[in-house]
Amino acid sequence: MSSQGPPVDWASIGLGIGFGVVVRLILLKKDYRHYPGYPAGFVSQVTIAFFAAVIGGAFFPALVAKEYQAATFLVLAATQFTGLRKVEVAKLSAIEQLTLVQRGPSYIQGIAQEFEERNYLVMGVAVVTALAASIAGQEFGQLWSWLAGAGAGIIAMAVAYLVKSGPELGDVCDVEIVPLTFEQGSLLYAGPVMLMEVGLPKARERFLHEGVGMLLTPKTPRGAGAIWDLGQRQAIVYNLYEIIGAKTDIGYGERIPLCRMDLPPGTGKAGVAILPLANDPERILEAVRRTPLLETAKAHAVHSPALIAWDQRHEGRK
Amino acid sequence: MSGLPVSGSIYAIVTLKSPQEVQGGVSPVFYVKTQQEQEHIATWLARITGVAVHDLHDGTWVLIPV
Repeated sequence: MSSQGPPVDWASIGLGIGFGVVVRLILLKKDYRHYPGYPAGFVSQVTIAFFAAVIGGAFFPALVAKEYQAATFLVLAATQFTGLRKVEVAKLSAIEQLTLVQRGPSYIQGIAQEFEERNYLVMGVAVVTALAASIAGQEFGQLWSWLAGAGAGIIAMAVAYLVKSGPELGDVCDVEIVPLTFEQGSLLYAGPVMLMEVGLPKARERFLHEGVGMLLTPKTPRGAGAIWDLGQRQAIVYNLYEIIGAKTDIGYGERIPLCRMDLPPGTGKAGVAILPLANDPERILEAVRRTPLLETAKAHAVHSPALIAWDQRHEGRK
Repeated sequence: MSGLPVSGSIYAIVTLKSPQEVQGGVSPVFYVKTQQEQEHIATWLARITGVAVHDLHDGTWVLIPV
Protein backbone atom coordinates (compact mmCIF):
# COMPACT_ATOMS: atom_id res chain seq x y z
CA MET A 1 0.00 0.00 0.00
CA SER A 2 2.72 2.43 0.98
CA SER A 3 4.76 1.65 -2.12
CA GLN A 4 1.95 3.04 -4.30
CA GLY A 5 1.51 6.23 -2.24
CA PRO A 6 3.62 9.38 -2.36
CA PRO A 7 7.30 9.06 -1.41
CA VAL A 8 8.15 9.04 2.29
CA ASP A 9 8.82 12.54 3.61
CA TRP A 10 12.14 11.78 5.32
CA ALA A 11 13.09 15.42 5.85
CA SER A 12 10.01 16.11 7.97
CA ILE A 13 10.22 12.88 9.96
CA GLY A 14 13.95 13.23 10.51
CA LEU A 15 13.73 16.84 11.65
CA GLY A 16 10.82 16.01 13.94
CA ILE A 17 12.66 13.16 15.62
CA GLY A 18 15.88 15.15 15.86
CA PHE A 19 14.35 18.20 17.51
CA GLY A 20 12.19 16.02 19.75
CA VAL A 21 15.17 14.16 21.18
CA VAL A 22 17.25 17.33 21.50
CA VAL A 23 14.52 19.09 23.49
CA ARG A 24 14.37 16.15 25.91
CA LEU A 25 18.13 16.21 26.36
CA ILE A 26 18.01 19.94 27.11
CA LEU A 27 15.20 19.53 29.64
CA LEU A 28 16.93 16.56 31.24
CA LYS A 29 20.17 18.46 31.68
CA LYS A 30 18.39 21.47 33.12
CA ASP A 31 16.74 19.29 35.71
CA TYR A 32 19.83 17.33 36.64
CA ARG A 33 19.67 17.18 40.43
CA HIS A 34 19.37 13.77 41.92
CA TYR A 35 16.61 12.52 39.72
CA PRO A 36 16.39 10.83 37.25
CA GLY A 37 19.41 8.78 38.15
CA TYR A 38 22.43 8.32 35.97
CA PRO A 39 22.95 6.26 33.85
CA ALA A 40 19.91 3.96 33.98
CA GLY A 41 17.28 6.66 34.50
CA PHE A 42 18.95 8.91 31.94
CA VAL A 43 19.04 6.20 29.26
CA SER A 44 15.44 5.16 29.80
CA GLN A 45 14.19 8.75 29.71
CA VAL A 46 16.04 9.52 26.47
CA THR A 47 14.87 6.25 24.91
CA ILE A 48 11.26 6.98 25.76
CA ALA A 49 11.73 10.51 24.44
CA PHE A 50 12.96 9.00 21.17
CA PHE A 51 9.76 6.97 20.88
CA ALA A 52 7.72 10.09 21.60
CA ALA A 53 9.67 11.99 18.94
CA VAL A 54 9.09 9.21 16.40
CA ILE A 55 5.37 9.33 17.13
CA GLY A 56 5.27 13.11 16.85
CA GLY A 57 7.53 13.33 13.81
CA ALA A 58 5.75 10.67 11.83
CA PHE A 59 2.24 11.79 12.66
CA PHE A 60 1.72 14.51 10.07
CA PRO A 61 3.70 12.86 7.23
CA ALA A 62 1.62 9.71 7.84
CA LEU A 63 -1.58 11.72 7.45
CA VAL A 64 -0.29 13.36 4.26
CA ALA A 65 0.60 9.94 2.87
CA LYS A 66 -2.99 8.89 3.63
CA GLU A 67 -1.68 6.25 6.05
CA TYR A 68 -4.59 6.77 8.42
CA GLN A 69 -4.08 3.46 10.16
CA ALA A 70 -0.51 4.42 10.99
CA ALA A 71 -1.62 7.82 12.25
CA THR A 72 -4.28 6.42 14.57
CA PHE A 73 -1.91 3.75 15.78
CA LEU A 74 0.56 6.44 16.76
CA VAL A 75 -2.14 8.20 18.79
CA LEU A 76 -2.77 4.91 20.53
CA ALA A 77 0.91 4.62 21.40
CA ALA A 78 0.75 8.01 23.07
CA THR A 79 -1.52 6.57 25.77
CA GLN A 80 1.44 4.48 26.91
CA PHE A 81 2.93 7.57 28.52
CA THR A 82 0.15 7.55 31.09
CA GLY A 83 1.27 4.04 32.01
CA LEU A 84 4.78 5.39 32.32
CA ARG A 85 3.62 7.82 34.98
CA LYS A 86 2.05 4.99 36.96
CA VAL A 87 5.31 3.04 36.86
CA GLU A 88 7.18 6.10 38.09
CA VAL A 89 4.75 6.56 40.98
CA ALA A 90 5.03 2.89 41.94
CA LYS A 91 8.82 3.06 41.90
CA LEU A 92 9.11 6.22 43.97
CA SER A 93 6.46 5.02 46.43
CA ALA A 94 8.34 1.77 46.94
CA ILE A 95 11.56 3.67 47.70
CA GLU A 96 9.73 5.76 50.31
CA GLN A 97 9.60 2.83 52.69
CA LEU A 98 13.31 3.05 53.39
CA THR A 99 14.04 6.74 53.54
CA LEU A 100 14.47 8.92 56.62
CA VAL A 101 12.68 11.87 55.07
CA GLN A 102 9.93 11.06 52.63
CA ARG A 103 9.05 12.88 49.45
CA GLY A 104 5.37 12.43 50.21
CA PRO A 105 2.62 11.44 47.75
CA SER A 106 2.15 14.97 46.39
CA TYR A 107 5.79 15.34 45.39
CA ILE A 108 5.86 11.85 43.86
CA GLN A 109 2.79 12.55 41.76
CA GLY A 110 4.37 15.84 40.73
CA ILE A 111 7.59 14.19 39.57
CA ALA A 112 5.76 11.45 37.68
CA GLN A 113 3.43 13.94 36.05
CA GLU A 114 6.36 16.06 34.97
CA PHE A 115 8.03 13.10 33.27
CA GLU A 116 4.82 12.33 31.45
CA GLU A 117 4.38 15.99 30.50
CA ARG A 118 7.91 16.17 29.10
CA ASN A 119 7.20 13.34 26.71
CA TYR A 120 4.20 15.27 25.47
CA LEU A 121 6.44 18.30 25.03
CA VAL A 122 8.80 16.14 22.98
CA MET A 123 5.88 14.92 20.92
CA GLY A 124 4.59 18.46 20.47
CA VAL A 125 7.96 19.76 19.29
CA ALA A 126 8.26 16.85 16.86
CA VAL A 127 4.75 17.42 15.48
CA VAL A 128 5.27 21.16 14.97
CA THR A 129 8.68 20.62 13.33
CA ALA A 130 7.45 17.90 11.00
CA LEU A 131 4.32 19.88 10.15
CA ALA A 132 6.30 22.98 9.16
CA ALA A 133 8.85 20.95 7.20
CA SER A 134 6.14 19.00 5.42
CA ILE A 135 4.07 22.04 4.38
CA ALA A 136 7.12 24.06 3.30
CA GLY A 137 8.40 21.05 1.39
CA GLN A 138 5.20 20.71 -0.61
CA GLU A 139 4.91 24.44 -1.33
CA PHE A 140 8.50 25.54 -1.92
CA GLY A 141 10.67 22.46 -2.34
CA GLN A 142 13.21 20.43 -0.40
CA LEU A 143 15.55 23.20 0.75
CA TRP A 144 12.72 25.22 2.27
CA SER A 145 11.46 22.09 3.93
CA TRP A 146 14.69 21.80 5.93
CA LEU A 147 14.83 25.51 6.72
CA ALA A 148 11.20 25.82 7.80
CA GLY A 149 11.46 22.61 9.83
CA ALA A 150 14.57 23.83 11.64
CA GLY A 151 13.03 27.27 12.30
CA ALA A 152 9.78 25.83 13.64
CA GLY A 153 11.75 23.31 15.69
CA ILE A 154 13.79 26.03 17.38
CA ILE A 155 10.69 28.08 18.17
CA ALA A 156 8.86 25.01 19.51
CA MET A 157 11.87 24.13 21.65
CA ALA A 158 11.91 27.62 23.13
CA VAL A 159 8.22 27.32 23.99
CA ALA A 160 8.74 23.88 25.52
CA TYR A 161 11.63 25.24 27.57
CA LEU A 162 9.43 28.00 28.96
CA VAL A 163 6.59 25.69 29.99
CA LYS A 164 8.83 22.85 31.15
CA SER A 165 8.17 23.39 34.81
CA GLY A 166 6.26 25.67 37.09
CA PRO A 167 7.54 28.25 39.55
CA GLU A 168 9.64 27.50 42.59
CA LEU A 169 8.92 28.21 46.23
CA GLY A 170 11.26 31.22 46.20
CA ASP A 171 8.99 32.89 43.64
CA VAL A 172 6.01 32.93 45.97
CA CYS A 173 7.56 32.91 49.45
CA ASP A 174 10.26 34.88 51.25
CA VAL A 175 12.70 32.59 52.99
CA GLU A 176 14.96 33.86 55.77
CA ILE A 177 17.20 32.37 58.43
CA VAL A 178 15.85 32.86 61.95
CA PRO A 179 17.29 31.74 65.29
CA LEU A 180 16.12 28.53 66.90
CA THR A 181 15.00 29.01 70.49
CA PHE A 182 13.29 27.03 73.23
CA GLU A 183 10.37 28.44 75.12
CA GLN A 184 8.66 27.08 78.23
CA GLY A 185 11.66 24.85 78.69
CA SER A 186 11.29 22.51 75.75
CA LEU A 187 9.17 23.95 72.93
CA LEU A 188 11.31 24.46 69.83
CA TYR A 189 10.66 27.72 67.98
CA ALA A 190 11.96 28.88 64.62
CA GLY A 191 11.56 32.63 64.99
CA PRO A 192 7.92 33.09 66.01
CA VAL A 193 6.80 29.63 64.88
CA MET A 194 6.46 26.77 67.36
CA LEU A 195 7.64 23.53 65.77
CA MET A 196 7.68 20.73 68.32
CA GLU A 197 8.40 19.61 71.84
CA VAL A 198 11.91 18.29 72.44
CA GLY A 199 12.12 16.36 75.69
CA LEU A 200 15.78 15.40 75.91
CA PRO A 201 18.07 18.17 77.22
CA LYS A 202 20.96 17.02 75.03
CA ALA A 203 18.79 17.09 71.93
CA ARG A 204 17.79 20.66 72.81
CA GLU A 205 21.44 21.67 73.13
CA ARG A 206 22.16 20.20 69.74
CA PHE A 207 19.34 22.15 68.12
CA LEU A 208 20.62 25.36 69.72
CA HIS A 209 24.21 24.85 68.64
CA GLU A 210 23.96 23.08 65.30
CA GLY A 211 20.41 23.66 64.14
CA VAL A 212 19.27 26.08 61.47
CA GLY A 213 15.85 27.69 61.59
CA MET A 214 14.00 29.29 58.72
CA LEU A 215 10.89 31.37 58.38
CA LEU A 216 8.74 31.19 55.24
CA THR A 217 6.55 34.21 54.60
CA PRO A 218 4.18 34.01 51.63
CA LYS A 219 4.53 36.82 49.10
CA THR A 220 1.42 35.92 47.09
CA PRO A 221 -1.89 34.13 47.76
CA ARG A 222 -0.52 31.22 45.81
CA GLY A 223 2.46 31.03 48.13
CA ALA A 224 0.11 31.09 51.11
CA GLY A 225 -1.93 28.28 49.61
CA ALA A 226 1.19 26.29 48.88
CA ILE A 227 2.64 26.24 52.38
CA TRP A 228 -0.68 25.45 54.02
CA ASP A 229 -0.50 22.25 51.99
CA LEU A 230 1.08 19.42 53.90
CA GLY A 231 2.40 17.82 50.72
CA GLN A 232 4.20 21.03 49.78
CA ARG A 233 5.76 21.31 53.23
CA GLN A 234 6.93 17.72 53.02
CA ALA A 235 8.47 18.54 49.63
CA ILE A 236 10.31 21.50 51.18
CA VAL A 237 11.71 19.30 53.93
CA TYR A 238 12.62 16.57 51.46
CA ASN A 239 14.42 18.98 49.15
CA LEU A 240 16.35 20.36 52.09
CA TYR A 241 17.28 16.88 53.27
CA GLU A 242 18.18 15.70 49.77
CA ILE A 243 20.39 18.67 48.88
CA ILE A 244 21.87 19.72 52.26
CA GLY A 245 21.61 16.51 54.29
CA ALA A 246 20.57 16.23 57.93
CA LYS A 247 22.20 14.74 61.01
CA THR A 248 19.58 12.08 61.52
CA ASP A 249 19.16 8.35 61.41
CA ILE A 250 16.91 5.58 62.65
CA GLY A 251 16.55 5.97 66.40
CA TYR A 252 16.85 9.76 66.27
CA GLY A 253 13.23 10.65 65.67
CA GLU A 254 13.49 14.17 67.09
CA ARG A 255 16.17 15.09 64.56
CA ILE A 256 14.11 14.65 61.41
CA PRO A 257 13.81 18.08 59.74
CA LEU A 258 10.34 19.53 59.84
CA CYS A 259 8.17 22.36 58.59
CA ARG A 260 5.18 23.61 60.58
CA MET A 261 2.70 26.45 60.32
CA ASP A 262 2.57 29.33 62.77
CA LEU A 263 -0.18 28.14 65.07
CA PRO A 264 -2.27 28.99 67.07
CA PRO A 265 -2.16 32.53 65.56
CA GLY A 266 -2.41 31.13 62.03
CA THR A 267 -0.53 33.99 60.39
CA GLY A 268 0.17 31.87 57.31
CA LYS A 269 3.90 31.81 57.99
CA ALA A 270 5.78 28.56 58.32
CA GLY A 271 8.85 27.59 60.30
CA VAL A 272 11.51 25.07 59.35
CA ALA A 273 14.15 23.42 61.52
CA ILE A 274 16.99 21.19 60.40
CA LEU A 275 20.27 19.90 61.80
CA PRO A 276 22.24 20.33 58.57
CA LEU A 277 25.31 18.28 57.72
CA ALA A 278 27.10 21.42 56.59
CA ASN A 279 25.98 24.70 58.10
CA ASP A 280 26.08 26.96 55.07
CA PRO A 281 23.14 29.40 55.37
CA GLU A 282 23.21 30.52 51.73
CA ARG A 283 23.02 26.98 50.38
CA ILE A 284 20.33 26.04 52.85
CA LEU A 285 18.22 29.03 51.83
CA GLU A 286 18.78 28.19 48.17
CA ALA A 287 17.66 24.60 48.70
CA VAL A 288 14.38 25.79 50.22
CA ARG A 289 13.81 28.48 47.60
CA ARG A 290 14.34 26.02 44.78
CA THR A 291 11.75 23.55 45.99
CA PRO A 292 9.32 23.07 43.12
CA LEU A 293 5.86 24.45 43.73
CA LEU A 294 3.64 21.38 43.54
CA GLU A 295 0.62 21.43 41.27
CA THR A 296 -1.46 19.65 43.87
CA ALA A 297 -0.61 22.40 46.34
CA LYS A 298 -1.70 25.18 44.01
CA ALA A 299 -5.38 24.36 44.09
CA HIS A 300 -5.81 25.57 47.67
CA ALA A 301 -5.18 29.17 46.71
CA VAL A 302 -8.16 28.98 44.38
CA HIS A 303 -10.57 26.85 46.34
CA SER A 304 -9.94 27.46 50.01
CA PRO A 305 -12.39 29.95 51.55
CA ALA A 306 -9.73 30.84 54.12
CA LEU A 307 -7.36 31.95 51.39
CA ILE A 308 -9.98 33.92 49.53
CA ALA A 309 -10.39 35.81 52.80
CA TRP A 310 -6.61 36.21 52.95
CA ASP A 311 -6.75 37.63 49.44
CA GLN A 312 -9.32 40.20 50.45
CA ARG A 313 -7.42 41.24 53.55
CA HIS A 314 -4.25 41.85 51.57
CA GLU A 315 -5.81 43.45 48.53
CA GLY A 316 -5.04 46.99 49.66
CA ARG A 317 -1.39 46.16 50.10
CA LYS A 318 -0.61 45.70 46.42
CA MET B 1 8.34 7.32 60.59
CA SER B 2 4.93 7.95 59.09
CA GLY B 3 5.96 11.44 57.96
CA LEU B 4 2.65 12.77 59.16
CA PRO B 5 2.20 14.75 62.38
CA VAL B 6 -0.01 12.02 63.78
CA SER B 7 1.56 10.08 66.60
CA GLY B 8 0.52 6.78 68.04
CA SER B 9 -0.08 6.00 71.65
CA ILE B 10 2.38 6.60 74.48
CA TYR B 11 5.13 4.04 74.16
CA ALA B 12 6.57 4.35 77.66
CA ILE B 13 6.59 6.70 80.64
CA VAL B 14 9.68 7.76 82.58
CA THR B 15 8.72 9.56 85.78
CA LEU B 16 10.18 11.00 88.96
CA LYS B 17 6.78 10.66 90.59
CA SER B 18 5.64 7.82 92.81
CA PRO B 19 3.65 4.76 91.66
CA GLN B 20 0.66 6.28 93.47
CA GLU B 21 0.75 9.37 91.26
CA VAL B 22 1.64 7.87 87.87
CA GLN B 23 0.41 4.50 86.69
CA GLY B 24 0.74 2.87 83.29
CA GLY B 25 -2.41 1.93 81.46
CA VAL B 26 -1.14 0.39 78.26
CA SER B 27 2.42 1.63 78.43
CA PRO B 28 5.15 0.59 80.85
CA VAL B 29 6.27 3.07 83.51
CA PHE B 30 9.90 3.50 84.55
CA TYR B 31 10.16 5.02 88.02
CA VAL B 32 13.39 6.96 88.54
CA LYS B 33 14.88 8.81 91.51
CA THR B 34 16.92 11.58 89.90
CA GLN B 35 16.72 13.70 86.77
CA GLN B 36 20.05 12.24 85.68
CA GLU B 37 18.63 8.74 85.84
CA GLN B 38 15.52 9.95 84.03
CA GLU B 39 17.61 11.33 81.18
CA HIS B 40 19.67 8.16 81.04
CA ILE B 41 16.68 5.82 80.83
CA ALA B 42 14.76 8.02 78.37
CA THR B 43 17.77 8.45 76.07
CA TRP B 44 18.49 4.74 75.98
CA LEU B 45 14.86 3.86 75.33
CA ALA B 46 14.67 6.50 72.59
CA ARG B 47 17.82 5.29 70.84
CA ILE B 48 16.88 1.63 71.12
CA THR B 49 13.30 1.96 69.94
CA GLY B 50 13.38 5.12 67.81
CA VAL B 51 10.71 6.96 69.78
CA ALA B 52 10.79 10.67 70.64
CA VAL B 53 10.96 11.95 74.23
CA HIS B 54 8.51 14.61 75.36
CA ASP B 55 8.58 16.50 78.64
CA LEU B 56 5.32 17.12 80.49
CA HIS B 57 7.19 19.49 82.87
CA ASP B 58 5.80 17.84 86.00
CA GLY B 59 8.59 15.32 86.45
CA THR B 60 7.12 12.96 83.86
CA TRP B 61 8.51 12.24 80.43
CA VAL B 62 6.51 10.34 77.83
CA LEU B 63 8.00 8.44 74.92
CA ILE B 64 5.99 8.61 71.74
CA PRO B 65 6.65 6.86 68.42
CA VAL B 66 7.67 9.35 65.72
